Amino acid sequence: MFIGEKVGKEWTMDQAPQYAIDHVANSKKNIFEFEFLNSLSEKISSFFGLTSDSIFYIDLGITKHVFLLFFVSTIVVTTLVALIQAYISHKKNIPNKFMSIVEMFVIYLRDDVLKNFIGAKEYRDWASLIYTIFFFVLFGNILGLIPIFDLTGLIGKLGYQADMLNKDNVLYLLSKGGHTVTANVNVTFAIATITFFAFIGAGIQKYGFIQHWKNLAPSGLPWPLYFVVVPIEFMGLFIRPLALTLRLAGNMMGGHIALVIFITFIFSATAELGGFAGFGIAPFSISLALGLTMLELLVAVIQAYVFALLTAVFIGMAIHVDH
Amino acid sequence: MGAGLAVIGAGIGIGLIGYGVAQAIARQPEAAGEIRSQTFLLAILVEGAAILLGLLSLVL
Repeated sequence: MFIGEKVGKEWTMDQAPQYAIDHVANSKKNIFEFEFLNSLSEKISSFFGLTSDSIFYIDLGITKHVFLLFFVSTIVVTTLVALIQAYISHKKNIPNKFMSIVEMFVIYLRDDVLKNFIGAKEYRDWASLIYTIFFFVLFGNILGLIPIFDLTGLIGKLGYQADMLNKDNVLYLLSKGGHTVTANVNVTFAIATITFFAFIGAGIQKYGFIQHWKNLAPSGLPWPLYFVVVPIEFMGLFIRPLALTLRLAGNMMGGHIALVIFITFIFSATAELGGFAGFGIAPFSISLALGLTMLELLVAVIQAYVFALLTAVFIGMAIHVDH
Repeated sequence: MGAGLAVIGAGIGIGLIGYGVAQAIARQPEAAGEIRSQTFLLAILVEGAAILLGLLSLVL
């Protein structure tokens, strides 16, 4: 009953979507205030003749997602690269536990994705790119599922966030906390842009600059069809990275929104029907959220695989034009 | 509403793919690996459209 009174005062039904969106969205305020970043961003924007009022004001401050992005990159570099370097340079080459998991992924990707879709001869040129994309996305996805990173929302208290200091509600701060960087459209769009240039580069490397763009028009069609086929192929060039972007971001975002909504069932029931209803609904809500977390764990691996797979498919399509 | 419609479409699409894959593997068990990777590709394409629509219905 104590919980019921406490929650009932602070919680209304229409808050639930707001919490879910807050959990997924990037926070506007920066986590840390760095003087040199601020002065740098002011210099850059004044170089382009921009002020903070104009639309394209460049803010270099470290927000929640930028912080997590650095964190993910650090973890990928420190665990994977250091581990694999140590493994390669070691004389005996006996994989330990973690190394054999990594090897499992690498060999599966090589046999099922790279050799199948890029080709047994050319795959070595693009293997490193695809492994990098796979492991970066995988670590980004899985880090978002570790609940301890929700506490990054509390870091805001240490920082400069004046409006957060007024809100003593711990739930609010937690909902501002960390989640997957890959649920941010900007991050996935950046990775998809790399894919975009990679598959154009692959075609140019194989066929030369002019022949690659000629490949947009497949040979052997009656001539009126070219007016239909070439624009479609050209649009396809830009739709591919866009679909990659939205797929990864949408999957991650959807899962996290659903998780938060399931948890907020408890608070909604408590606020509407009293404390006992909250206690009654809590087991169902928590078990739903637990099941969804397990599903998300699966989705995290699958989406990383899908991103790597589609990158490989697009590169393969640029190299083997015939089919 | 929109999300529900998107899920119906994706459900039918992935169901058809699963049907085809099960039959193909039953007929030719030795080609299972190749069929599986092609399946992933098709399922991804179907799912991509569904997610796009789901996001649109979320935003609008």
